[in-house]
Amino acid sequence: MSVIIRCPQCQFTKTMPSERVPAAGTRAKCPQCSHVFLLSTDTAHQTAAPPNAPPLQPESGKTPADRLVPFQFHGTAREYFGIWIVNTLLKIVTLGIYSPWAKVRKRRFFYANSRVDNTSFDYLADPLVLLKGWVLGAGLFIAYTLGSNFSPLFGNVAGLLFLLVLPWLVVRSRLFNTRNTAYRSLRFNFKPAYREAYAAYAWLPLLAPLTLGMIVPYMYWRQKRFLVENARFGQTPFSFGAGVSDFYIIAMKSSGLALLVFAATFSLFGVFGGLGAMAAGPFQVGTFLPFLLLLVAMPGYLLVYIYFQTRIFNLTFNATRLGSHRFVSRLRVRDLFWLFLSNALAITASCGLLIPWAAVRLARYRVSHLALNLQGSLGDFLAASTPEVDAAGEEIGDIFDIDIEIAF
Amino acid sequence: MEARANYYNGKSSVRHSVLLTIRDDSLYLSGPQGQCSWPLDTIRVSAPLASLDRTVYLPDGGNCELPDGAFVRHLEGNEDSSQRVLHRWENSLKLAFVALLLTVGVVWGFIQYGVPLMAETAAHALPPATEEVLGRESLALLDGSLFVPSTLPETRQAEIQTIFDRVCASLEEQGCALAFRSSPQMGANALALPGGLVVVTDQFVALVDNEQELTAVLAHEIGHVKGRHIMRRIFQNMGAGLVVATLTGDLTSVSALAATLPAVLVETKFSRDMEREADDIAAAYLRSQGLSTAPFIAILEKLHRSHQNPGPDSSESGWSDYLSTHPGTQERIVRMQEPAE
Repeated sequence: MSVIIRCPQCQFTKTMPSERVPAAGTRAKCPQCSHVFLLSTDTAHQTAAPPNAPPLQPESGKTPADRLVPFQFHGTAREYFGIWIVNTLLKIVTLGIYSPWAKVRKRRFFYANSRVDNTSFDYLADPLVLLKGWVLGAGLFIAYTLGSNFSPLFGNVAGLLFLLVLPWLVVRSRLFNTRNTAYRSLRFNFKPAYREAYAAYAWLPLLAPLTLGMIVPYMYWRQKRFLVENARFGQTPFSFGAGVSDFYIIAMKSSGLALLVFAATFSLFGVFGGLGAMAAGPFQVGTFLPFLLLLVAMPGYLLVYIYFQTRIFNLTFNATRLGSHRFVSRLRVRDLFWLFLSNALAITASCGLLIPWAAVRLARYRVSHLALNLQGSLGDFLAASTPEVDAAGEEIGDIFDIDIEIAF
Repeated sequence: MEARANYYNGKSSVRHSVLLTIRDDSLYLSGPQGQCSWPLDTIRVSAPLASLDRTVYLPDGGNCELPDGAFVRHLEGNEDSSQRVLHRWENSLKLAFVALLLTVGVVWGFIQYGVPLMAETAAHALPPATEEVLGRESLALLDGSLFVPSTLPETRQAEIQTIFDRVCASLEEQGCALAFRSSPQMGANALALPGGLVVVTDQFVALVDNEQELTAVLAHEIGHVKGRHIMRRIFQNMGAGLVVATLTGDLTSVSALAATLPAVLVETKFSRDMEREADDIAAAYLRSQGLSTAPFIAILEKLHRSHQNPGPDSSESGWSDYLSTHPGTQERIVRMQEPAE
């Protein structure tokens, strides 16, 4: 017989054999949010029915009309360390051929440890399908590196061609990833809207320099709308309600922040320049410049980057609906700034050994700050048929390091 | 054998709590809607990973989630034992550390021996015609940016060509060609391009005081040609780039900044190794001709001085030496002297 204990703070649940659960009134600490609460009959629910009662009940349909269900992340750095180091070793020993298998193990770890309403996500990609895409991508990568080493013309032509196939890559990669992601035995899916992909990922970026960047927030809006509105879960489409003006407001605030960082760096240059002129001898301005750049400009621009990405991420998710359910994203800029900065320091100081820790830490933060505002239950989605799709787009994008932001 | 599980039927997202039973080589599922069964060999179980629940995939698209345990292990039977080996490896801290040590060793060995060996094989296997095309492309590129036509008198060019041909002949390197250019930006320099093309700048010719100095530098450049250094360097950087990319593939965009430093360090290490190799070829040539390495040392010092900004304190700092593509001049001079003593 087992018992589910639910944290009253963050709704984290844990299943334990009933004989190991302490008596009601004992203090318990939530492993997720560290909230301390008293165990009571309210927080512990018995799940297993007595042996001879009718055991099989479908999920109850009478859930409260409107409730906030948080996403949770259960993976630990210790577990991921093992997966990561074995993946790394096998990738190197096999000259990269193992990477599709490594990718599936890594993705499955992060997907299956992400849960909402007590069910995890599943990553179903077949490594052999990924391998075909990987071979194609690796071939293109070698041709590109060799070619651009000798002929700048080749590099330019290849760059232009790449811009032309990028929208296709985005669509294929989204198709592959959504169709191989499942929740409660239903797969996600993506509508291959190539025309819209070309507008958002090729024509608008080409127009950006001509309009002195004024079009960039609009471009971001089109890209996010494209990614959200063409995605579906089973038969149910996602919808996107953010307005263009919200994107412009975030872009303007980010530009203001960037100007502030620039002014701060510039005035510090002035101060140090003045000091350097006064102090003759070994104290030369030149010696300080790299440190000044490292200490002020780099974290400053990191902050601007994170501010922009976080605000856009929150805006996108908060404007996304799945049927009648609404997403709630509460990422905070200062938390993410600290996470990225400390992760970068930890990874550098540990020669990369803390990469798994950093990755798990970031995933836990991002996942646990996402929630679903449920209207009814998650039980009323229906499946759609999803044909198989090849992995060329996904793997080429991966090798050339295009980060196509995923919805989950 | 029995177990309780959450069941999703693959047609809707409704969760059912069901009872699974294994009996007579079949899996029976009993739920509120009734009972179904499938032969065990049509059932697939997700590979074990960390401490995650296992998913049992049913032939009709439905699945069941249940904790890892005897029941699941009975279901999966003997399929894919490699997945279980991986899982044990990943889950044991001791074995994970063994993997870590192996990774460090393999990466080191690969950068130290594997990449240079593969690059050398690839560079020597490249058809000479291809290399010549690449050399012409590179020269055209430099002509358009850093080089202007040489203003050296024809007689001086002919003298240098004679020395060049002599060194080529005794180093047994056919297909070398010499070109003269002027480059105010680059200053005194001699460089080897793909396809055996050696370029000397007017500024460099002005810097040499005698024929021995010229011979020494030309021998060094022909050393680069002989060792196919340019192509090797390109292949090596590509190989090392792939190793670094494989290693850091898990990184998120910002931490990837930290990944550029090892790549730069590896590239400069390769480049310095090749300069040493070319120095050794030049020194061996000079000795074989009964010449002293002293002119080589003299010209190295002159080149070093000509590329330094005139300043009161111009000793090489540890940092710039570390990131420089050539070994420190002092180090090269010491190497030049060693075998002679």
